[in-house]
Amino acid sequence: MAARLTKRPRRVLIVDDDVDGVDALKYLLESEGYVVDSASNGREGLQHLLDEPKPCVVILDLAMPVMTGWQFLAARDDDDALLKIPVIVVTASRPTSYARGEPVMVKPVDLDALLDQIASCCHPRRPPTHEH
Amino acid sequence: MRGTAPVIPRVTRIGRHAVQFYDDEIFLATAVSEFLTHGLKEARPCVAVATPRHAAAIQGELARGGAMSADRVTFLDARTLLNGFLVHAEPDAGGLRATIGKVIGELAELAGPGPVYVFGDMTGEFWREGHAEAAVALEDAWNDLAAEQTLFLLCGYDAVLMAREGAGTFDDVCRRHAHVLPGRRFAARDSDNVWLEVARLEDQVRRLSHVQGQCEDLTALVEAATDGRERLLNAGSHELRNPVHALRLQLQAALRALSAPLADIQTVRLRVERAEAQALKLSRILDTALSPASFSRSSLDLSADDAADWSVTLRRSVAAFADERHDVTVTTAIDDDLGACEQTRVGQAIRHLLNHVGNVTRTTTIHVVAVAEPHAVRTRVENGIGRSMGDPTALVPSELVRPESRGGSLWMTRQLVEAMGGTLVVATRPDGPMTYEITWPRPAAQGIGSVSR
Repeated sequence: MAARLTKRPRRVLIVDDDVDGVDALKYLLESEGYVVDSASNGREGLQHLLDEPKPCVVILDLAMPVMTGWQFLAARDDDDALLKIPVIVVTASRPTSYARGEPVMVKPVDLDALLDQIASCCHPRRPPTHEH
Repeated sequence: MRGTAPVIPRVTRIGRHAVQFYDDEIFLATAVSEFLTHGLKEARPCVAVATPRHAAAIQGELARGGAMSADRVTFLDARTLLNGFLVHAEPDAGGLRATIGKVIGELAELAGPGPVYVFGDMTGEFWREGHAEAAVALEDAWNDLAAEQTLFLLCGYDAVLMAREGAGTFDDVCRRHAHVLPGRRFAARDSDNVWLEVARLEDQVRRLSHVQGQCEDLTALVEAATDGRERLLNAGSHELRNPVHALRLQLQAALRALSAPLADIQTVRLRVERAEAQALKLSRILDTALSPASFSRSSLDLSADDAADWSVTLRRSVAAFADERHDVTVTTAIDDDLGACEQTRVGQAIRHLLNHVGNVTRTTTIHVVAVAEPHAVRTRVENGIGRSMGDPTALVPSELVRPESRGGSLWMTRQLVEAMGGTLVVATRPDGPMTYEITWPRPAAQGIGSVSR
């Protein structure tokens, strides 16, 4: 899995109100060499995107208080700069009507598949690795 | 329509029950022999309940038919049979069933599934005696019998006798028969026994309609079950997926820490402990999800433990009103460690309120405001943001404080509220707090006053 890394650390933003899930995913991504920020709802996530160094990908939950993942995506659509940042939706709900085009993963996620998705966003020139 | 008598009285009319009017007995004998011949061709049992004169004429017609032997038809004397079930000169439905009904049943059993062809001439006895009401009552008894047994029943009515009775009686007779076959003066005989085919088709339509009704009932049951299952699974799925997700990631983090060249045992232990906490949370959610009996619509039967979990605040609000106190405002702080999803948000909010989860990681304040109305207690739960836990209006009885949450969802909460006879309405607006409004019947609608708890 080290093959996913480049020399320059890349930044990932997790927007999810599930504290325990965020805690574990943050540890795992950091062990892969990513710098990880987190936000517990869509509004905090948007603020991170405006204030902090831009991440190479956003891991986004859909059902959150204050501002949902759907509202986050709608707000992102209005900002060309933010629209360039790819989003991976990771949700506990089955998004039966999801048709926006972002990759969707349903919790509990397959970690390797998620890491591959993140790598394909953060290292677009490198094809994703498949470890079996 | 109120107070208006129905124009046509309700009469049970069986589709296999016909009346043949006749002007002369030869016409009747021909019509009846054609009817019975139809039955004989179908290899079905045939019975003729006739006066001796009619019986002789029918037998003659059958004999003229050639191939079909008259001795294959069971002839019964109309007067003798009628006397067997008269009670105070009136026909008795039970007596009819015990006499001719028994004969028909035995013949049907011998012949196997299918109709028994019956010609009935007994009402003619009543008409000749001028006893119209008894004749009509006998037709009703026949209809009752035809509803229980499979038979093609043909009655013979003397058109001359009927003409004496007047239009009202004629209508009564016609309403008690599904098929009315006119006499010679009015039309040709139904030589092809079309009415039998019509009756057969009506039977078939009735059977198919019954099957269709059963199918529709089953479909509705399956759809309702599927809908309930979907709602339960959707709510349960979301409740379970987050802790399963966290459990899985924590275990993978523990494995990752363990497989590092210099394994950090403290990190491993921390990850395992957090995984264990998720497992515990999952088992509690399952405990709750697997106890649906507590949330029956018809009754709210909560054990003491359950009550502490779910309903103590609501119960106390209700009790305050029952004690003729009202204007209860309960504000309590909650944490939202499970994360909120649109469809379970209400369930989580109220669950957190009721459980008062102690594991605070992020502060959300829920206001529960119970307002007295003439006939109801209305509780509004507003999920606000950024309220201080030190809100001076906060009232959190110590016994409400529980260290960990238990599962639940909007679905379960709705069951709970509805079991208490109330309703739950959710209102949302963009970028604003969600409002959950619970209304239930007010135990005491008097005694206005404030209460502080």
